[in-house]
This record gives sequence, C-alpha cells and structure tokens, in this order.
Amino acid sequence: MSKSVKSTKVKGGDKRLEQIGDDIWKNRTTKINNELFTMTYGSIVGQICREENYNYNKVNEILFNMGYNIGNRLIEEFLSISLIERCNNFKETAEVISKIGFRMFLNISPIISNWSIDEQTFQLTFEENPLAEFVELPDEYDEEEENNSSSNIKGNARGELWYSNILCGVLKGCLEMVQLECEVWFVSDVLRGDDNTSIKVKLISILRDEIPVGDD
Amino acid sequence: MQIYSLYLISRSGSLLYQRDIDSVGSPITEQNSNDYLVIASNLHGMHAIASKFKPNLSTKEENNFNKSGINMNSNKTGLRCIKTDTFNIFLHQTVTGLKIILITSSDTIESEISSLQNEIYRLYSDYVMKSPFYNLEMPIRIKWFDEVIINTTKKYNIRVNINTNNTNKISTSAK
Amino acid sequence: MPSPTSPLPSPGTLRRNQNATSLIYDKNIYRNNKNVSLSSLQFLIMEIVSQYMKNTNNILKIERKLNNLGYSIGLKYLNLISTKNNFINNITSNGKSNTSHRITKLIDFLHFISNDIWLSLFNKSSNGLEKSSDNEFQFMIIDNNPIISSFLSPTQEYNSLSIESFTAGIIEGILDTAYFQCEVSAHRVPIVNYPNKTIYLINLKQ
Repeated sequence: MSKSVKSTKVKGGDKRLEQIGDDIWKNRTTKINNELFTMTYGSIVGQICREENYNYNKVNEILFNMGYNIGNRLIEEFLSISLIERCNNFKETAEVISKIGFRMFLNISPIISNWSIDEQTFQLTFEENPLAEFVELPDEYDEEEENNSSSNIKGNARGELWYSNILCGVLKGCLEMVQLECEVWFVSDVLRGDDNTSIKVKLISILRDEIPVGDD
Repeated sequence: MQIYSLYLISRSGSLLYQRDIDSVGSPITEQNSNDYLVIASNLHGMHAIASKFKPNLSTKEENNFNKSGINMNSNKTGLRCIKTDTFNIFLHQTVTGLKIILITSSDTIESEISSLQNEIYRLYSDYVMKSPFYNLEMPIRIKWFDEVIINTTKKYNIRVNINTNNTNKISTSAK
Repeated sequence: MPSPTSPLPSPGTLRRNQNATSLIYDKNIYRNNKNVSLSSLQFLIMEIVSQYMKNTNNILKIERKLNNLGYSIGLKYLNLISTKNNFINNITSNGKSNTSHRITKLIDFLHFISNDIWLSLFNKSSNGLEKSSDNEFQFMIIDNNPIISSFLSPTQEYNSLSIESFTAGIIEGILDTAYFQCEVSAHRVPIVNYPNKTIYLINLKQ
C-alpha cells in the first residue's frame, strides 16, 4: 500500500504534457456541470445494485465490464482529439493517461506513484473523483431497514463495493485498444473509509502481434 | 481538388464503411457492393505488403511530449499513398488500427488531406463510437454519420476548388 | 456571512460521524462549479443503453428504464438546486433568512424547468414551452438540440427509441417532487437543421 505519494517526473516532458492536456481541456472539449454527470453515474450504480439484489461482487464486475466497453470506444475520441502517437514506454503511457486522458474527460490529473522496480506497475491516486462527489456508502444494516421486511439489502457496500470500478474497466479497455494488455484494479477508496482513492495499473504484455501493420 | 470516395477499414481488414462523395468527373465508376469489398481488402493487403519493403531506417527515439498536435498518422512504414495521372489514394492509419482511406483527384494538397482525415476520425469517434446501436467491427449504417461525412468532405471539395481556381487565374494572368 | 448549513444527517450517519466519508458533509455544495467533459456523460449513456439492449429489444422497456434512471435524478435535483438558490438569495439579502419562495403555480414552475433547470443541467435554455391546444393538462418543452443524445443517430431497427427518455425522467422526477404528478415522454420531431429536435410531452394527472 502507498506510504508516500509523490509524482514522478519524466525527463522534463512532464510540463509539456500538462500543457497539452490544459489546451485540450480549455479549447477542444464541450463541458457540462459535473452534478449531472455525478448523479447519472450514481443513478446507474443504484439501478444495478437493485437489479443485482445488492450482490456487490457482481455489481463490481458489471461496472468493470461497462467501463471496458466504454474504453474500447472512448480511446478513439482520446486519440482523435489529442492526436497523440504510440507511446515509447510504459512510463510515458502513465503520464499520458494522467495528464491528458483523465484531464480531457474528467478534468482531473491523478498522481502517479509507486512504480514497481520493473516499471510495469504504477499507482494512480485521485485527489478528487467526479464520479463520487457527495457519495456515501451504507456500511451496515440501518435499523429502520432491518425492521422493514420489504428491504433486501444483503451485502455490505462499504466493505465490498468499488463504487468507481467503471474507471478500471475504462482504463483496461482503452489500453487494450492500443495493444497494451493490463490489469487494472482498485486498491483503496475514500468511500470505504480509506485514506485515499487509488488504482493500480499493471502491464501484463504488449500485444505485439496485434500492433497494426505499418506502425513500428 | 476533389474527394471521390471514402473507405474505413478496421484493424482486422474488414470494410466498415464506404461512401462515394463526389462522382462528378470521377474516373472511378460506381461499383457494386462486392467490388467495394474487393477494393478494401486489396488496399488492406497492399498496405501490409508495402510495410515489409521498408528501408531499414534508424528510428529516432522521439516521445509524445514533442510530437503531439501534429498529424497523427501512425502509418509509418505501410503504403501511404498511390498516385496516378487521374486519381490519388491516401491511406491514413490511427494508433488503434483504423484505416481512413480517401480516393481523390490527382491535384490534391496533402496538408488538406491529412486535416480532412483527422476530421473524419473525429466524426467517427462522435457519431459511431457513441452510438449504442453500433457494434464494434460491424459495417457502419448510421444516418447522421452519412450526413456529416458528406457535408464535411464536400466542404473540402468546394473550399479547395475556390483556392485552386484562384491560383489558376493568377498563373494565367501572369502569362 | 453565515456559514452554509450542511444537510441534515440521518441518524445512521450520525453514528458513523467519525468515518472518513462523513467528510462530505463538510464540503461546500454551493461553490462546487466544476465541469467534466460532455463526452464522459455521453459514453456513460451509450453504455447503459447497450446494457439494456442486451436484455431486451423491446423499445418501450428500454425507454422505461432510461426514464427511471432520470427520475431518480430528478427527485434529488430539485432539492439541490433550490438549496443552492436559497443560498444565493441569502447572500444577496444580507443574510436574512430564506427569501426564495416555493413556486406553486404550475405555469411558473414549468417556466422554471424550461429555463433555470435546463440552464443548470445543460448550460442552455430550452427552445420553448408550449401548451397543448386540445388538452389543458398537456404541456410541451421543446429542445432543438438536446445535448445528451446529440450524436445518437436513430437506426432503422430502433428508429422510435428516444434516448431523451432519460431527460424526460428527470423532468418527471422534478415535477413529482413539487407535487405536480405527471408523466413525461420524449419524442423526436426532426426538422431541417435540427435532426434531433425533441419534444418533452408533459401529461399531468388530472
């Protein structure tokens, strides 16, 4: 788990990427108030929880898969707006995800930290999370709910639900479309009472055979 | 400059989309749908073969900090362009492997072509990728996409035609 | 200036007041004017619709679910926006107590939706509010270019499916919280230059 969170600098290129992300956010995206977005996501999670009878492991899986499908498509918008080329290494990929990807869609730049020694795994830490603004998860049976026989809350949301798990799916879906097979998972979430909200991204392999011909 | 037709080919080589934009003066006569498939798969194959003939360049290590914002054609060693007396073919490939192929008149301005290709990519990501009715890798049958594609490419046809007409005039008056 | 009062915590939340999540009660909801990209919302809607389509291809069922999704937003949204408005009014009236009034007239309230609510949700006003000529319990809000579905071209198979049922659900939820019971449905009426022109038909329960 994370002990100290500090940002990694990549050969001074850091700033340049920040500027690109800035420019895209300011000049090339249509924006909406994040309340509608947050509430829509909340409403979707709520609907899924009800439909899955509060089986949070199932909900996590559904959210992840939804994100994966979105990622498969969202990558095209990311590339067509940013006009960015294939990254040379995974460190660069991490920077691009944080400084341009997250900036462009959610107007945040999560902090990159905890690089593994083999440089295949890093952590993204979110200082704010537009998906979960003003969200609180129930952590136990409410007395009223228990007395209410029609209530069928089974699981423990604070212990089991990764509320923003859709993000992991989006990252996996995006990276796979540029031939990076990754594992992406939540390690902590303030909604669960953790100190911070963090996602780990681990590069499994580069799908070299699937890199489009002519792009090397 | 005229854009005659547009092909979108998926990473795996299947034809996603074909549209004849402007047939006036086009040397390419109307084909039946099967011919479009043949053209698409041939272009896909030729592109792949061409990449095998690449000269052994020492590739410069250049990272994204320097190269963003310019033309993002990830088609580096494949077939990029076929030029003939009567028409040109331009192949653009995105990082995800989507090929955007334009068949144009022979008097094309390459910077215009690449900006059109980028615009088409934007439209694809908006109108195709955001449609829940579209399944990836399937042929694109989306009414609004047709409309915006036609409008956007026609805009290029007209705009550039005015420019070329002007330059023609200047050159004739200079004579 | 009086500090904004936080929303009343439920008994359950008081118990776990020491938890990290309870920090949300200290956040200022009035100054929260952040934005996200419209695309993010569009992708979210795209995906939830394709999830629905996996389970059913019954257009009415899909619209029903979209409507429900919006409805639960509408229920909360009126509270949010009126709390915010109260706060703004409080500042302008030198900290005097609640100066904004509840809108009780139907027509005024519909205007409030088609202007204020539209503005806060979609960053623009709607393109009109009309009363049906043959039914006095029927009203229409018109939007020439609804932003959520602006790229969602109709297809042959799902031609009559209106993604804007989602927005219709929001309106329904807002009207219901204000005790104007109704049903709201969305209908696309394409015209030249506005292929996605949508009418939100409000049927009040008599």
